[in-house]
Amino acid sequence: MIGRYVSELEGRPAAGDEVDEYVQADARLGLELTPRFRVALIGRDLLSPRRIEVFQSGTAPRRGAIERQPRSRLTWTF
Amino acid sequence: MGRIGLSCVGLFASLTTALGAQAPDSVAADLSTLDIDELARVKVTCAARRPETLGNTSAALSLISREDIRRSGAANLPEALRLLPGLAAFQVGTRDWAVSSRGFHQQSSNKMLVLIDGRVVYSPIFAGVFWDVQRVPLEDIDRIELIRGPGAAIWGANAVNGVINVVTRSAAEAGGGRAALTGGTNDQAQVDLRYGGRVGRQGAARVYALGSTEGGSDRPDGGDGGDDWQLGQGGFRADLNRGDNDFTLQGDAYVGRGGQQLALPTPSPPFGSLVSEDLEVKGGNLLGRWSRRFSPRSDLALQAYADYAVRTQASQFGRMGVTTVDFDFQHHFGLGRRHDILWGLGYRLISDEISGAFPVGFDPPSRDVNLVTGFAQDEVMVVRDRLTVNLGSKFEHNSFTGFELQPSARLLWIPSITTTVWAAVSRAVRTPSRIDSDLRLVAQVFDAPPITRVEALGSDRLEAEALIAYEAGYRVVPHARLSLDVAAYYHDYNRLRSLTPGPPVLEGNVIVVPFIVGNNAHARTYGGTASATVRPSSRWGIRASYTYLNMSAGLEADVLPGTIADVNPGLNPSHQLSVWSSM
Repeated sequence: MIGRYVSELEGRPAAGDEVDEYVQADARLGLELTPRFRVALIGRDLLSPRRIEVFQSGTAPRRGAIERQPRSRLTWTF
Repeated sequence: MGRIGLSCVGLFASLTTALGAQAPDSVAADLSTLDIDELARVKVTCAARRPETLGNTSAALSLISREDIRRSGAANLPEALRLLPGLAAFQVGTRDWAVSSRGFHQQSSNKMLVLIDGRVVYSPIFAGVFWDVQRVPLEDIDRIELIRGPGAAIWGANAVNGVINVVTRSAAEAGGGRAALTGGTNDQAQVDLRYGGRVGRQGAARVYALGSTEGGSDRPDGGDGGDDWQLGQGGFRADLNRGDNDFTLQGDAYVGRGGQQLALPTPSPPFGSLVSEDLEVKGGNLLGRWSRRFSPRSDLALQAYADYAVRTQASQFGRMGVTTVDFDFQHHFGLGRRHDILWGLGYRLISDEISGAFPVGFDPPSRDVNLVTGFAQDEVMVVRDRLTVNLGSKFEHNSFTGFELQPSARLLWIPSITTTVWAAVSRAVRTPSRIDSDLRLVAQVFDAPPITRVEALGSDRLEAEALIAYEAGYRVVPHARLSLDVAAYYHDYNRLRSLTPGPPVLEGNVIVVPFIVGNNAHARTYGGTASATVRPSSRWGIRASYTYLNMSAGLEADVLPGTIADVNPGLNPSHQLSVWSSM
């Protein structure tokens, strides 16, 4: 499990690209099904449905909200 | 003019990003489950350009291993970088990342040098890293090292705020077959395949392939950001060991595409439009290395690589093709009982061709840039096993600013077997890239008659941005289950990038207001990173780190009115804290 805190980004004067402080957490649970098969359940950015880490200003519209992301991974070694 | 100026800076900063902005010694184990004293003996190569132990490095260093990356659940290289203490690695959208240490954090952080197995992936055109195409198979990574602070005395220009060194495992260490399937929300799917094994008695080889697809990121207000991304990549690595000689040959090739939505200036009314289009990438590289050991105190290494990368963003800068050829030689030997000498020579040729488009063009559209480098350092043992002084410098000549000197002096004091104290003073430079020297960027077009166009123009009279860094650090293992590492710094930057308004010019019926790239900004930063590793039991490890940054910037006193500093302290967090528990 990883928890992290990042303080606010004040942004540039008049550019409107400030970002609030945030706390986020990732978690991973690994299971060994057999010596050759492993499964991992992974959750990234679990504490909010979406949030901004950095604004991109200028030529592109402000995309970039990072979603809560559950994942799973199956690994087979041979 | 203030408003125009600001948007100009915004565009300049975002442009560089919208545009997209070694000899391996194995760290096989999970660092979080190593004994504390084992941790201090882990070999690293990044700080000194040859293996040394983590506990005896006279630089601020962060390290993660393959097992750390696996346990984090990271799916790609930039996600793995988030684990490095003292690094700010923030995700901008599906494929873009802003990665920097010690400030100057923005989507295209131009003061971080990044190497993958000794190959520089810092873009010589846009001064930053296209993170979307740096997809190293994570299972083949041995370790990722981060020098926080300048590494220029051995790595050269652009190693100003830090050096990230990704080191993959030798083929002999990563044998067998492996298939991994990852799936997640937001249409994320990734396949990783690898097969490798022994070839003959002294050789080993592996091949890999990966494919990934990700949906677009969300806009803050909901809706799709349109930046979906698909990439396919394959590669190989072959290693041959013959006694004291090691040979490596490796290569990668990739092809990818992504969506993007851009608000761009246009030459005709309404002078701006929202463009949705694909960007396309492809590229490849081939690297060979030979290293030979003569004795425990003497060895040499010879490396050569070629790298080819094409990126097409039709409505922005058109098609950009870059070919890089690099040769590197280094030799290490002991001189008497007290001196350890490391020296080397290098040559790099970067040849590019950029077709250009209305908002972003380069003059000239094609250019060959040469870089000739040399470095030498002397590690002097003042008191055996207690006190070491390291003096060295990089000397290099580049096509933009000519000769650059980047010296450093480092002191390492080991008062006891569990305690290390170090201090360093060094100079590092960021040399101009094509975007600084040859850019012509239309930042904004104003419709009100007469039509006015604000442009950013590169300059061929630029000097390198310069840093003088003062650093100190302390490492201690007070208990068999606890280690602490603290490093602090003061950085003084001069000749940073700025934009100065030039006299307006009439082009047909359009008034062009140029902002010319200059060297009139300065900045100061201070701060530090403290990290601790605790091992409550043999299976449970906890790592915590805290990073503080204070950054201020300004313009020189004698600049022309209207000049803008292209430095943004407000884009940097003052505090970062992370806690990682694994068992």
